[in-house]
Amino acid sequence: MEQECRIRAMEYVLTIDPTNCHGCRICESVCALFHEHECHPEKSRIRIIASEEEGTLITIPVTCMQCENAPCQAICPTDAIYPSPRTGARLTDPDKCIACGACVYVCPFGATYVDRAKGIAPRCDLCDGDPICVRFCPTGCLQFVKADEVSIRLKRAHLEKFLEFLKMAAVTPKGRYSHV
Amino acid sequence: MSDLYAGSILLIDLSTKQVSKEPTSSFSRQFLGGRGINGKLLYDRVPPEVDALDPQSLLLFGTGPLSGTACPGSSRIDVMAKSPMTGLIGFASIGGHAAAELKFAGYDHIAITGKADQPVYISVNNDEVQIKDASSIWGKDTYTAQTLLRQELGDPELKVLCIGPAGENVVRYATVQSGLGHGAGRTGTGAVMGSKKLKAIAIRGTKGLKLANAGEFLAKSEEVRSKLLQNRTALEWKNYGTARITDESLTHAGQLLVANFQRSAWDREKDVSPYAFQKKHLLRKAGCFGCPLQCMDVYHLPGIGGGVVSCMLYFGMPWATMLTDMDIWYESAILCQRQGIDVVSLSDMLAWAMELYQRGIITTKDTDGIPMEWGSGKAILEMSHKIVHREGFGDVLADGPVLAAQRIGRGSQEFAMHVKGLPLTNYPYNSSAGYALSAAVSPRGDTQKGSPLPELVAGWENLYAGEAATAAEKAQEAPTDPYKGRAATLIEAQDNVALADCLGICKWLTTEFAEGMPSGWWAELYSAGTGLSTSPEAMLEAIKRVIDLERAYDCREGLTREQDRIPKRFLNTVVSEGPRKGGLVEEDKLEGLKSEYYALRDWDVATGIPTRQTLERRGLRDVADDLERRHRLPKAPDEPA
Repeated sequence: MEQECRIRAMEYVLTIDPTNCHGCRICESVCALFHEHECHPEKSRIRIIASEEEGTLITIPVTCMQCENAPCQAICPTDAIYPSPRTGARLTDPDKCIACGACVYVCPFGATYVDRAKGIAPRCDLCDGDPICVRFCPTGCLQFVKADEVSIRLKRAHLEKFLEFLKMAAVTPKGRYSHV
Repeated sequence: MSDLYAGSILLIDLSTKQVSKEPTSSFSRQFLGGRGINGKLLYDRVPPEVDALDPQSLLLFGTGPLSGTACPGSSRIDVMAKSPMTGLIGFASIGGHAAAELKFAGYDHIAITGKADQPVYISVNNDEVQIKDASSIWGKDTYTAQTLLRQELGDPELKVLCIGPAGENVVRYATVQSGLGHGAGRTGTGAVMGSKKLKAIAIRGTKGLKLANAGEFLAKSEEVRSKLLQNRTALEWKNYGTARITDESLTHAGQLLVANFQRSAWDREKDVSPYAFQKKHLLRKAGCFGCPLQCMDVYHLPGIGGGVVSCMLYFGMPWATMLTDMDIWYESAILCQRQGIDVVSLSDMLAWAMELYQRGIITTKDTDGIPMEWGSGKAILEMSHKIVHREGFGDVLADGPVLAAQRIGRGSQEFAMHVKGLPLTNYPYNSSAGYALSAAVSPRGDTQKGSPLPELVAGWENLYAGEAATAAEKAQEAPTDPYKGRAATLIEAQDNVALADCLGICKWLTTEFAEGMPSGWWAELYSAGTGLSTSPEAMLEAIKRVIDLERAYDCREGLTREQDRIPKRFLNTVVSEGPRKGGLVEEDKLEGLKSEYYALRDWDVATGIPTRQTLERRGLRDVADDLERRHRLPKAPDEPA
């Protein structure tokens, strides 16, 4: 029964479309408020990294990418990190975690941190299947979608121009590429 | 008690290099926060004997209790000082990410006095506050200075409040800027910062804010957010920023006056359409901390560079100066941000110079050889640079309309379009009693920060209905009595804007987007965050206290009913062209509105000064005593004259 539930929930992944992030940091605010009961972006499981150089604004969300072979779990010296049976997200066992920071070092995205006051390295638990950052994201930059949809959606997005081109060609009767 | 508030007011004396703290709670019960606490500090510590640009003058940055929280729009800092433009209270709100960062560092307010010997900047890193040498960034524009500061301090996460070269050169309408596109535009707080030789405040805060009831606060924030995203005006902001609405509600409705407010119609409106520019060049949207709308527009034009534009920047320059080249308009908008200068004041000063040139009052002999011709991009860009660097004629214009008119003489003051020394935002004061009253009685000498006046709303209504062409007709539909109810409407708008400014949220939330949002929500959010019980009535009472104190400040400086006036150009002349043709504001009727306004505010109608009775009722007995000592208090009715 538990096994079934896990498979169902794990079909969903949190996706980030950095071109659609406007840098409002609502995700940070609500994550920290929901998990830590404070308005405290430093304690958020998702962070926005911004660059404003030369008048050009770029903002990118950073959060746990839910690696299949998670380095954080592999490196943990006390086996404190384990996958949630419901969502598959890696969770931290507060009784085992020694806040050594090994998981922070190995995370390829820098997506985690150590809460020194609590003595624990918390991580994104996907809010048990309904991520609050996704719920509040005003642009749709953050989405929680079925894993098997992700790769085909990316392919379609990348090929949109090509599709547009072929669509025009398909309805042009003669001299198919004359309009180019 | 420090829930929701960061807890401290940071006091910095740049002359003695002393840094100290005061608890915010000494003021927050009476004045809420932001503009309210700023006003109290300014009243107590900057008396009439201190000039705006004296070292003893105070520069105030005030967040509100909701700044930095998960409540939508929680991004604002009220920047306040005695204004070097008006000599009265000066304040402007700035968005972006600095407010949140300041609160996370542990401070609700920063109050800066004194003057450094050499250019300095202040580094605030949680409890560590340092005054540092700014020689490496002095002279740099605001975009560059922020990048250099992040490099120098080795922290790319810093949020910065800074001035540009205009502030350094104490151009009297210089701004304080933050990030890209965020500025405290009006009243010249950047000049005060520059007079203290303070280039920047670099802030890093990692503490966060505690809440009395986090669950309730989050639930309430979600309620505000979902209501906001159902509001059609808010959605307009989200989808089109302030570009399309500028076309629809201002341009098409004939709300913008042309050529230094000389004319009411312009046949080039299509050429200066912000929406057309946006459609052509928009890269993406951007905005402030905690806001789901993101109403600012990100551009990058070859040869000019990147930048973020919104609101006033769109319609300031083209209409005032008849500039039709939108590439030059964009260049001037980025210039305003990089150099740190108020676009409204700059547009008006250039437009004034152009009118003086048109009338032959000044010639190229006065303007260092630059022909100040209407619409001339060369004149606009070259003279702007001269103003920023106080070179030649630019040095004259850099002092604002009152001092500049004294230096030019020759009757030039008649054509300077300002109230109490502050150049006017472009609105139809000649045909709308609401705008005219708003400008006349404003404490800072400008309209009351975009109050939702019926003219503006009429334009929007049409936009939603998709009937842009009839916007003009609708706006023209004169109510039976164009003066009726205007004083009460203005008071409501002023109170709502002040509420937002005190809470540290964007004013749109309590004005244009407030439809369907009960005013009680703000009290509920406040209670959930602080754990203190409050009511909408108690909050409104605090707001009225703040506004009476601001008025008392101005009156202590010598302001009376007499100075609550708008330029003669707008009065007693029937509008002869454009969509608002036939409009008229009569001087004696405007005087009547002023009386009504003072009476509704419980101020003395003859002088426009708050009475002792009113001040005492608001808990401002000390202010009443102070005004009395200075012979500024109006005589009580039963007192012999």
